[in-house]
Amino acid sequence: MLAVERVTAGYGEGRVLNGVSLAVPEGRVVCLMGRNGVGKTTLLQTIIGLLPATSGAIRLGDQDLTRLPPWERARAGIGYVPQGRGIFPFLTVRENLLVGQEVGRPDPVALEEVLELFPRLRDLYHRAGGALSGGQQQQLALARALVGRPRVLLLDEPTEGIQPSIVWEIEEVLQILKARGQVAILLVEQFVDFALSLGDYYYVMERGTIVAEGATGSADPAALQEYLSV
Amino acid sequence: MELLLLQGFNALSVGSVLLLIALGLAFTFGLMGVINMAHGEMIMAGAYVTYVLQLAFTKYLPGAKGAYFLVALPAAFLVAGLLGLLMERLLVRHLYGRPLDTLLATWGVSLMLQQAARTIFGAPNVQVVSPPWLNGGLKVLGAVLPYKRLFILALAVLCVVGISLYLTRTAGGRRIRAVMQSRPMAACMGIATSRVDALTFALGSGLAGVAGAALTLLGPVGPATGTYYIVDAFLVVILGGVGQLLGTVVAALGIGAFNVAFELGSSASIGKVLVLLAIIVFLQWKPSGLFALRTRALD
Repeated sequence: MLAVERVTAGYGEGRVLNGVSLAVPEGRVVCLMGRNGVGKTTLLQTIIGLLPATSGAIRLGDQDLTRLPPWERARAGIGYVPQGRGIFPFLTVRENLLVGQEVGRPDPVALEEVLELFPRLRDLYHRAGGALSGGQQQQLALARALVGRPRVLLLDEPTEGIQPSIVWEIEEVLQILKARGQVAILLVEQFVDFALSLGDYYYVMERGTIVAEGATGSADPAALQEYLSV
Repeated sequence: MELLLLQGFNALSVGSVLLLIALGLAFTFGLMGVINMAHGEMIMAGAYVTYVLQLAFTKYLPGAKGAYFLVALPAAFLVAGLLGLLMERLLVRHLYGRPLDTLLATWGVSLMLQQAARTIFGAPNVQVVSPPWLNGGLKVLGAVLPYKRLFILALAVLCVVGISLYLTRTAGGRRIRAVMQSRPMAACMGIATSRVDALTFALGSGLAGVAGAALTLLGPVGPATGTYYIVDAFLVVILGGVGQLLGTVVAALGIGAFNVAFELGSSASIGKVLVLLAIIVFLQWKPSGLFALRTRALD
């Protein structure tokens, strides 16, 4: 459903992506792996539109997103959880979630469903986003992306630098989302075990291009680890 | 006792005028970071709108000519707001992130608008006749508090309350705050950030127009009206700390109070000099102003 076709992009003169192609089918979980600095975050930023693609195409269903601004892509159905979480620090948890529904009409049902996935957020409802711990912010960022009922969720290392108890909660939520199959997920992840247990398919990036891919069922964890070791 | 009451009221009154002229700038400069040198001309536009309406009412509706002022306030907001919207769409939005270019370009706009006023209304100042229902004053403990000053005070309070309700209680205000806190994330959440920028700028300009309408109660209107107020407006916003409405309010009232206090022991111009010195010293000590927004997320 989400299709990235031979996309190149970069910052100024420096090119970071050299013709990346990948596909995220409806309702599936696709993992993107690779060492630091190979362009995973850049790829997600190019998909949501924070960086322009200098060539290639990005499609969602039959809609071409390549030249659209980020808000149009969000409205088309792309939810984005960035590295560093991107919480609005002076908006409350509630307001952060309401901003997540800017993609369409206010949807109290979706809000309620998401709060059931993240019951912790209910207790923090009127706290400022900036006052939350890293793990709580990560849950909020995920919840905020989900209240807009996206068709594809872009997750940039959702478990990085977070206390283990919350990592476990987040992984559980991702398993639930996968089981429901209502949203496709493109997950950037460093941990091979987690990526293989959750993902249906994987891609490995090196120096701005895809160097390996396959179904997670037939993947060899040791060979994958080889790609990721420094 | 009477002197104290009168001086206290004067301080509040000067503060409320400063607050009115700075509120709009708290949006365009404080929230958006645009150095809008034409802010003063938005004030001027609001003042001339009031002048034109007063003439029109006197000519066509002499029976209700006192009511012109109530029409002038929203009209000044709309006209100045539209001017601001045009300015943002045609000029300012191409210069985001380039403060020096913005400063020069908006200064150019300011000169053009001043010349336009000179061409349309003539170079000499014009006097707006205040509505009769604002003449006179309220007698309290032997002191007389002019209705005009009281009206401006009430208007400033109304504007501040209105703005803070808008920013904190409505979806539009929430969008403005989200964009100002993290522009890229707001865009990724589906907020059309360029539209929010245009609206925020228009809102700030509209508020300057309201200030201009109110200022016609205190003195004549001329092409240079804006130049007279622009420095004060920037002083208030910078002293208050950018990005915080509360800072602007406290700074305006504080400058008003010090102004009146210093003037009491000296002359009007020495008072101004002392206030300016005090602000400079204060900003050396606290460069980001009274209320600074500090968070990792904004760095």
